[in-house]
Amino acid sequence: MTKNWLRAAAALDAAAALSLAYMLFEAQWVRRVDRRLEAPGVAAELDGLTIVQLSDFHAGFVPSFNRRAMCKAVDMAVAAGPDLVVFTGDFATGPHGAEELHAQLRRLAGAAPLGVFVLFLTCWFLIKGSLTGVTGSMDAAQVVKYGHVELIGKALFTDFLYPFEITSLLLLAAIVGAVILAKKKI
Amino acid sequence: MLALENYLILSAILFSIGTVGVLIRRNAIVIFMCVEMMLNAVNLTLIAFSKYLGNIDGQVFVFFIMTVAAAEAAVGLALMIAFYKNRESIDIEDMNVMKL
Repeated sequence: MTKNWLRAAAALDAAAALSLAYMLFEAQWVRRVDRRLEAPGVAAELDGLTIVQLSDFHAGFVPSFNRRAMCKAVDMAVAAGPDLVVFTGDFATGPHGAEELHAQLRRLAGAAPLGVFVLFLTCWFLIKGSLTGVTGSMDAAQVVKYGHVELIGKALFTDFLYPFEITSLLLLAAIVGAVILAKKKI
Repeated sequence: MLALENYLILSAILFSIGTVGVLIRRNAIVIFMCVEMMLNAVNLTLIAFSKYLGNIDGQVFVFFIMTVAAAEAAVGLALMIAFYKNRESIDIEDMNVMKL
């Protein structure tokens, strides 16, 4: 019995260690990805505009090395020669190290002639917002009129006909396998 | 109908109970039962979302999950029968050599 608890505790510890490693190491690995985007409705003078998108600085997050990653990211952004810098969320999570953050922002603002745009409070928007409330076609009136069985049958034999037939093959394989495994003498 | 979150919380609780059971228990048949519980927790989630979003696809997919679960249980139990014939036990502690 103790060995089982040890095993479960070890599994949970491994999971915790993996998530910690992700937070401390992978999250600090700053990469640059170049993409060429088509913008059909935009005026022709803006062709060739370089936009640098940064996100998830989490500046001020205390038990981590975000300062180094942040400086590296700003270095890469400045080296890319941007016209415009956009922060798409998770900009800062605490007041710790605010002067350094301001210094880096001033560097960015100096490098980008069109300016730096920051999306603040993206988590707040996610929490305070609500779902659109757009629902599909199967509402209570349809269920009362046709019944669940007919609705499911209609979907199963039209949209899902191919998986239905493949499932029958799966069941055949399972039956043959089970019989062979459990036989006394093959 | 209840709010969507209630069904999701119940499904999460069932899924975690199943996961803990798979990690903790020694009897292979109990482990199969816990796997079934995890699959059923997912079924509950799919049905709750199907009702909430007004789309029948969730309920149709539950059919396929149940079918796959049945096939897997049949093959798994047959495997346990074959294993028991060799080792006289279905304790997973005894499933520790590759050669039967």
